[in-house]
This record gives sequence, structure tokens and C-alpha cells, in this order.
Amino acid sequence: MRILKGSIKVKSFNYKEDNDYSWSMIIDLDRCNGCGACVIGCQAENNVATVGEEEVGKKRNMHWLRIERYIEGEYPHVKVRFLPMMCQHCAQAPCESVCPVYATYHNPEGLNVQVYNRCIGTRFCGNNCPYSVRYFNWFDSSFPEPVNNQLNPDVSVRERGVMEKCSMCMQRIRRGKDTAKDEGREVVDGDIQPACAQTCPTGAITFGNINDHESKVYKMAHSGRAISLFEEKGTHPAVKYLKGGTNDVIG
Amino acid sequence: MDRRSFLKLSGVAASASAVGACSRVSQKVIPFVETPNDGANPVDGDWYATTCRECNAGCGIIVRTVNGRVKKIEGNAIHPVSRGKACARGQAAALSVYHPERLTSPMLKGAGGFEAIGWDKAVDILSQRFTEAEGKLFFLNNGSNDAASGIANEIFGKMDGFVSAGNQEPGFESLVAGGESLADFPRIPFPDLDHAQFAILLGADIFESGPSPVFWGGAFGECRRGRASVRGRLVYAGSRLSATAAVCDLWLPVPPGRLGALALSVAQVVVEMIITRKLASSIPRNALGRWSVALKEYEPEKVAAQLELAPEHIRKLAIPFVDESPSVVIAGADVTGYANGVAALDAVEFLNMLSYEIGREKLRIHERMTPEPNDNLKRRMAEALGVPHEAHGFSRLTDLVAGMEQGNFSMGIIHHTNPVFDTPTGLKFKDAMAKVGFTVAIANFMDETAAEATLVLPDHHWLEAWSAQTPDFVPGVPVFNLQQPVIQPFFGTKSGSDIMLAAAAAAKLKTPADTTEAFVTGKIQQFRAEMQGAPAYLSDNAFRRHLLREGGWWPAQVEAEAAPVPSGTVLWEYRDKLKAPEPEFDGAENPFFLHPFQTVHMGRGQGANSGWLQEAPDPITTLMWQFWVEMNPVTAAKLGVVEGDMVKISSAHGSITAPVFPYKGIRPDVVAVPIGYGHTNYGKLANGRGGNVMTLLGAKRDAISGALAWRSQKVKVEKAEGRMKMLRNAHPEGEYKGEVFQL
Repeated sequence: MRILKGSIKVKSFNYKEDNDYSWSMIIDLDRCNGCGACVIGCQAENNVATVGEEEVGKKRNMHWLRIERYIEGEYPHVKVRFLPMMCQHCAQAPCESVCPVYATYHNPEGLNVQVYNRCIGTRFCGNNCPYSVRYFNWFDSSFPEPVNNQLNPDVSVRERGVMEKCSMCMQRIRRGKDTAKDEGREVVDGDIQPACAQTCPTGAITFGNINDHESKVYKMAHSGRAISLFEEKGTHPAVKYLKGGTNDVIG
Repeated sequence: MDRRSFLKLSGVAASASAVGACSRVSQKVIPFVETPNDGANPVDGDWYATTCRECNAGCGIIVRTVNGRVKKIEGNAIHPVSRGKACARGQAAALSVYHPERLTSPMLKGAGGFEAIGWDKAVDILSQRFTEAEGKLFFLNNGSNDAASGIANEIFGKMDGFVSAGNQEPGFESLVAGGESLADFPRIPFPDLDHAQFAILLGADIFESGPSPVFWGGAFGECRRGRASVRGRLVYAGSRLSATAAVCDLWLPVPPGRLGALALSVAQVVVEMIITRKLASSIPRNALGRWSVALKEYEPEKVAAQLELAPEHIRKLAIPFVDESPSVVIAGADVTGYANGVAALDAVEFLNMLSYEIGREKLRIHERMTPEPNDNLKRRMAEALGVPHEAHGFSRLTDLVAGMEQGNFSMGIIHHTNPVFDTPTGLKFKDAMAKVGFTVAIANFMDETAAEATLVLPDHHWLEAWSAQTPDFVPGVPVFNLQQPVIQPFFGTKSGSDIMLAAAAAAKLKTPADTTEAFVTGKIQQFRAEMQGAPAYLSDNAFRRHLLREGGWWPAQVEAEAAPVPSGTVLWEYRDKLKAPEPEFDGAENPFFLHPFQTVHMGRGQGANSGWLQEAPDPITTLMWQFWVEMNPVTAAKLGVVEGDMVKISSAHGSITAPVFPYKGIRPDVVAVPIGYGHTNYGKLANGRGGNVMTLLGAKRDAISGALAWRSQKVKVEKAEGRMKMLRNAHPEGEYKGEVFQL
């Protein structure tokens, strides 16, 4: 890994520039086929609760990762698009500045982190998030015996009154760094994969360290196809999307 | 030190450290949460390689277990089918193994319903029935070639009257039959989408239904953006804009049952281009002339009207097919769903062969294009577990039901399949089942079929059991999948195949092995010589462990056993096959075509009892926990209904009610209903959610293959009482308009 200290162009708070890692995710919209494997992968990895039909009706489902679906045009010139949407890990995150108890903050590796045991459930962060990717626990999560046997021991089960959201699989980042340290080496590109990126059948999701100029994410972010969502809001997300291709319609 | 001075000292220490940490405002906060990894040190756990059995694709997976509990399922990176990935249904198996409604004890039906019995008694009853049946029994599974089915075949296979059948996903049988005349080993074609530049998907919902959404997902990703300079282009033709169609660059809404004519029309233009441009010198010129004459009636101008397209649309497919080669055509449910499906598949294969001849670079896998050099090895591997290839499919199932009705069977074993729910009403499986004296259901959950059985044996979940599986739909190389228990059985279940072996031994029948594990080990040794590329120096035991570590056996590349037949010769076979018969429909007097389709989550209904899969939004509708019927907004307006209004869909066979989901990506004369909903006896989460579309279907079959033509039903749709709030995860047109993001 080649890290260019001092030449980092990541828009962030200054403490981040001293850090080796700045995690980023690139999602190729031209590859995404909306199959939803990432949604279940995320749910299995992060102990995301199901809330049941009634609560879903109140828009209280908890999927940290959802697939936005857009239907454009009129029959027969119809186009359907998919866009996986999770916490964008904004460098200038609107959710961070409104938290009265610093439960959400920006960590030195460019991730927007939620500290569950600080959260007092004001939900200011959720209101302020332009991407609607923060989820509030209205009830204690239901993992009744024996379903609780599946729970991932690396990730805590959130309790009632706490806000939660995509962590970029913090536990996997941690494990990746631990493994590299045990093996006496640095983390190399591809070592760490969040559950969604690991499982994506079409290979639409790529994760890596954008401070490493040899990494896949760095190259993809500079491929000319990369966009950020709601760029005009100045949130500078760490998640970037690669635009789709042609939009051919009959006619 | 007394207590007072201790407090003093610690007070000083605390304030000193507080001053030190306050040099910058941000650092006051940061040090506390430098490592907010939920306070847990990630453990790696144990990873086991095994095979996903949620469908029959045979994806190699690895399973993470911690302290003997399943935590996460991921793809096996070296496996040729899954290529390191897993789908939603496969991953949800980590939850179903701990499902509170798993069956735990054998149950025998008495006068007052099911009664729990002990395992010893269950084996006694079973062995007594085996003796009395004298071979007059059947074994029905979900269409997989696995150890349980192999064991049943080896115990009973030589007896007169034994029938083994598979309740396969609809459509597979036709896809297999489509090229039967050409290949020694009939199988589902896997055109080389990875390396294609242009692909025509004829109703092929490859990401939603079988053989493997994961394999096809990987192929699509490679085709689309896997190469630096080429962006693969895909075109979809079919009556509904499915999730697969959504990623294609162009959708052509062709009327139901007409895709064969579209393929032939494209072929007509391609053949003319070959002749005028003098391409593909390996094709005999007289063959070209003959095709040119045969295809005359499929000129774009002549068929455009029945396809409801303009002739340019057809040329828009045909010209890039030559210019942007290598190209492939993939056929799927919207071809095989009609009674003229197999005839249309011949046209598809013809196009694929032309593509191979004109391709600037040759595609790697062109299954069925020519008889493959390794057909024999593939067949030996597919049948390695003792299940004949012909055992599966709807025609076999129809014969089985006829036999059941005539009283040919005194006993039946139904292994992990639910035909009472997922076969059409017209087949009358439930009635036939009642005529079999004694039926055994080997299952994980109570379902509609197990409820009708006399004896229910709770099987291990596939994550707890030994087995092996040989997919008959293999992309490229032969595959022998191993399935090993990754955890100790969690409930008081026993392996269904072990019980069969024990009961057969007690009935003094000849058994292939004492346990399933021994059976699988025996098969590995038996086929070791065939398993090319595996280390030869290992002992048998070490070799078995090697396979367990890898998840099975598949070669990187196989040595050719025979030279392929030149494709020009094979192409000549097509001289009389270029025909697209008119589609036939049941209930032709009804106004709407019924379009049952498989979703990414429900499968054929197995997914309905999983909270994860029920709550996961459907890709197109983004509905959760709900059943729906899709229709064009124009159709909805004519019927006077809006989103959520209930409509009654009826055919001569039955009727269901469903809330309307207006969707612009469907033809106005088609109504689409997902399969897998409408369970009546499959647990709390599944029961009472919508209707079962299979109750609307007769048993209309493909004219050539005998497969179920599951889309050849026309129905009436009328407004019904009531409304339902639709639980969408997204706005009807997306949370924000696509233009906002400038996609």
C-alpha cells in the first residue's frame, strides 16, 4: 500500500489528514440489478431486526441498506433503475452537528459512527439526514429464542430508543486490521469487505481506502463516472456512485 | 493508606489527566470513542465450506459459525457456480435453521390429527411399510440430484413399481428439452454472457428464477462493466419489465407467446447479413440458402404486426447481433411458459450458433451449441449419486400423479418439496395423494403437503446434515458438490436419509451404506478416478478431507474426451426446425393473460416463512409482507381501480383476490401475479398472505417437452370489495425522481 501522507485531498476535518485510512465505498449503478442480496447480507451481519407487517406500515422497517427503485417514462418507454442506499458517511455530515450528546461523530478514518450507549433518542440526526438512512428503534428488538442463536457476536443488539445505521461493517474493518497486524503486514486493498460488498453477485459494490492511491476505490472514484448524491448539499459523502450507461428506448 | 487520602490522591490524578486531554476541543470527545467497535473484539469463528440447498443451482458457500451456531452465509470464492457470492434466499438460511416453527419430533396421523411419536417407533413403522410396499412406492423430491434421492434410488431402484420423480421449478424441463436433439447430455444452456458484448434476453428472468441467480448476476456484472473498453449491452423482450429487464438497455413489450417469432425474425435478418456480407465461411453455402428460404416468412415486415413492434425494432436487435459480436441469446420463463416454448428454443439455439460462427472472438461456454467434448463426463457426474437425469420434471410428475390415482403405489416418500402448494390445481396432486395408502413427508417445517401425509419426519436443516449434490445445470465444468454439517443438530431432528437407511436395513432390504455420510464417502471414492485435477498422492481419507475443505470437486478445466462436432454439421440439422407455432391458451375467451412470476425472495413459496425475506422489499414494487397483482395503469383505470384496491382474478380452475399494484412496465393485456404467496399451512409468517396463483392454473403442457406451460392461462379480472394499504418501501416512482440524482 502506498499512502501519500500530506497530499490527501479528502475533504474532511483536519484530524483525518494524519490518518492512514479513509474508508470509501463505490457503487456501480450500471452493475446493480436490484436483487437484494446485499440487504439480507447486511441484516445477517449486523443483527438488524425485522419489525413485522404492522410496523412496516408505519415506515419503521430497519434495513440499514435499502434499494431505491425509480420508474421513469411512460409505457412502452419505461425504464426502471436501482440505487442501493445506505449511510453515505458524509465528511460534513448534517447528522453529526445536531446530536446533543455526541452519539454520532466522525471518526478519524472518515466514517460516521453511531455510539449506541450515548444515544438518548432525540432523533434530531434522523430528521437532519438528507438520505433518510438512520433508523430508530421504536421497540426493543425482537430476537426471541431460538432466533437469537443467529446473532452476530461482533455486533451489539440495539435497544429501544436508540438510533442506528450502517457502520460500514465496523467489526469487519476491525477484524481486517487485526488480522493484518497479526500477520505483521499492512492492510491491503480487498482485505476488508463489508457484508454488502462481499455478497453482491454482480460486483457492484467496492470498498476500500481512498487514501491509498493504488486502491480500486481511488481509481473508480476518479474514473469520470463517479457522482455523489445530493452534491449541492455539500455533505461530501464517502459513498460514491458510478453513473449508469446509455438509456436506450424504443421509438 | 486510609480511605481519605486515597480519594484525595485519585482526585488529583483525575484532574491532571483531564487537563492533559483538553488541548484541543475535538480531542476531548475523540479519545473516548477511538475504538467504538461496539465494545466487542471481533472473533473470526469457524468457516465451513458446504453447498446451498435453498434451490437446485448448487452454489458453493462458506458458513461462519461461532460457538457452534450459524452466523453468516457467504459464497465460496473458488466455486464455479457461486463465484464467491450468495443471493438473498441463500443467506436467509442462516435464520431458517433457528426458526421457532421447525419440526422437532416425528408425527403420525391418527384419528384426531397428528400425534408425536418417538424416533424408534417411526423407524419401526417405516420399515414395516417398506416390507409391505414391495417396491410399489414413489420418491418425490424438489428435483435435485442429492444423496437422499440417490439413496432412495439405490434401495428401491431395482424393484418393479418404484418411481423416482422431481418437482422441479417450472421451465427447466423445457430449457433442457430445447437442445436435446443436439447434445448427448441434455441440460440447461449457459451462454457465455461474461464475454458477450451484446445480449438478447428473451423473457429470461435470470436474476429472479433459476437455475442460478448468483451465477447469472456475476455473468451480467462481467458483461456490463468487467472490461475496460467495452460496456456490454443487453436487450430484453417479454411481456413484463421484470427486475432482470430493468437492467437491460432496452425493453420490447412483445405479446405473450410470440418470442419464438421474434427470434426467427432476428435470425432472418442475421442470415441475410451473413449472405450479403459473406461472413462465417464455415457455414455451408447451401445451408444458408435453405435457411434464407425457410425464414422468408419471418421477415421483420411480415411479423412486426403480430409482435406489435415496428420492423426497425427487430432490426435494432439483429444488426448489433452481428456488428457487436460476440453476442448471445438467453431464453427464459417468458419463452418456456407457453405451450410453444420448446419450438421457440430451437430458434434461440439457432441464433446462438450463428453468433458462434460470426463471432470475432469465440465465446468460452457455448453449451449445447455443439455436442460438448465432455458431455459424457458431465453426465457421469450429474448422475454420480445414482439419480437418473430423466427423473425430474413436470411430465414425470404428471405420470406419477396418474399412477397414484390408479392405485399403483401403496406408499410414497415426499422429500423437501411441497407439491400440494406449488403445482397447479389442474394436476390434482392433493386428491391423488389421498389415494396413496401411506405417505411420508420428510421436511423441516409443517407445510401444505406434510399436512396431508400420514407420517411426518423432521429432517435436519441442510446446514446440519450430510449430503452431496450434483447440479445438472452446470456452467461449463462438471461439478460434484459436498454438503457437510456445519453445526450440531439444534433441534431433536434426525437426517431423513439416515432414517430411510435405518428403516430399509430393518426391513432386510439391501442398503448402499449405513449412513448418509458413508454413502457420500463411498461415492467420492467411486468417482475419484474421474475427478481430474485433484491431488493424486492423497490417501482416500485425506482426499475426502480435501474435498470437504474446498466444498466439493470441479476442475479448472477438463481434458476433452472427444473432439467437438463441427458446428456447421450441427447447424444443418436446423433446416426443418425454423418454425414458430402459434401460442395456445387455456380459457382463451378471457381478456387477460395471466403472468405468474417468481420473485427474488419467495422462491416457489419456501421463503414465505422467513421474516427476513418477507420484510425485504421486492425489487420492482418494493412491497414488504404483501401479495399483489401488477397491471398497467391503463388497465387499472379501465377496471376503475387504483393502488390497493382489491380485484378478483378468476379462471375455470379457481379464483384469488389481490390488491392492485399499477406498474407501467407491463403490457396492458397482461396481469402479473407473484408465485409463492397464499400459504394456508406454513407457519405464522406465511399463512394468509395473499392468494396462490397456482390455483388458477390448469395443467397445460408444452407440446414437445411436456413441461408445465405456466403462463398459458387467460383470466378474468374484476373489481372486488375492499382496499388494502400497500406497504411500499418507496414512493410509486422512487423516493426522489431519478433526475434528481442525474443518474
